[in-house]
Amino acid sequence: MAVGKFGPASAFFFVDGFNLISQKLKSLREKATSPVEDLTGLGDSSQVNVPVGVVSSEVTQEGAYFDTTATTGGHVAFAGNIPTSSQASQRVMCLGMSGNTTGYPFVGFKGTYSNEYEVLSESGSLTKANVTFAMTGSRDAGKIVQPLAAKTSSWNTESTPVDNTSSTSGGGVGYLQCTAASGFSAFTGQLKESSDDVTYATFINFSNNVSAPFAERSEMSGTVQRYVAFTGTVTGSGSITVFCGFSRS
Amino acid sequence: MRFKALRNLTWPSPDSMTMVKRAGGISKLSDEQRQKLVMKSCKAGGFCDGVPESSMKWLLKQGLVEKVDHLDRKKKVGEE
Repeated sequence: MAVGKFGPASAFFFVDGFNLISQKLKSLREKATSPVEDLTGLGDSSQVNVPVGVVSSEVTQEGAYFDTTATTGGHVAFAGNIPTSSQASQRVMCLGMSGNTTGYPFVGFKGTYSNEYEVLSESGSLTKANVTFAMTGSRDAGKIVQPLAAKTSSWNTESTPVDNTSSTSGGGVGYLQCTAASGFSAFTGQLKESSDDVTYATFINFSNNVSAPFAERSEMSGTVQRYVAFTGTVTGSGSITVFCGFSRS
Repeated sequence: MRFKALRNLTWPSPDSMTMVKRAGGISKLSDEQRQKLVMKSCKAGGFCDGVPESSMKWLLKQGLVEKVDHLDRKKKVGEE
């Protein structure tokens, strides 16, 4: 578990497989709010606030380069993805502020719309872009199982699993972000669990995909054992850059 | 009695299991030990009789493995 203080070098931010930190963001803000209702009444000497049970999330990024590079640029990630109808596709977002390391915290969001995209051109400066994201659905706080890393052959993280110290019974959500891929004809990622750090069983299978950038969110129900690890299986020769996190419910 | 995996499984080979057991788990192996580690695997739907007995308990309890009636084995000549 991450402890201590963190600075700008510890931030990471992925949307649909786009690694937005590479766009040199000047700020990234993630805010979770639980609205409360004021139930203060006659006879109360102190204000009484009660959560109404709805959590809202807001993420904003500011000061990124306006980058039109195909497949990796921020403009490519956002210009064509302003939702234009109620049936607009939701995006898969993961971010963290305490480092890209196994076992460290990350946050994923169930449904993300990049509903505001602002481009700024100023004298004496490079053109910048700001994005505001609206969330629909849950905010999933979890742990990094596979830190973002480039791989050139099949691998697993069973030697460095995330240890929750005990099993949980509320299911969970797995997030996969792939920022780059080349050469391989197939790639599948799996989240695996173990009670004893000896035998591992798959509990989430991500879809086969090698067309980066891409991301996937997968929910599961029931028991999740103490240890969680990631397996990446590739076919052919090439390179793939992948991040995976899991949030227990 | 045979066991059928209901999920993809991986586990140490019998020879590796001694090393893993002594270390206290796969994540406790040294780099040198990890180089010698041999793992077995089984896809969902296949037989996983080689899974260590200590692991079989939690796998059965969680419903990730099921006991299969002995009649599922190929019958030997003369077997009824």
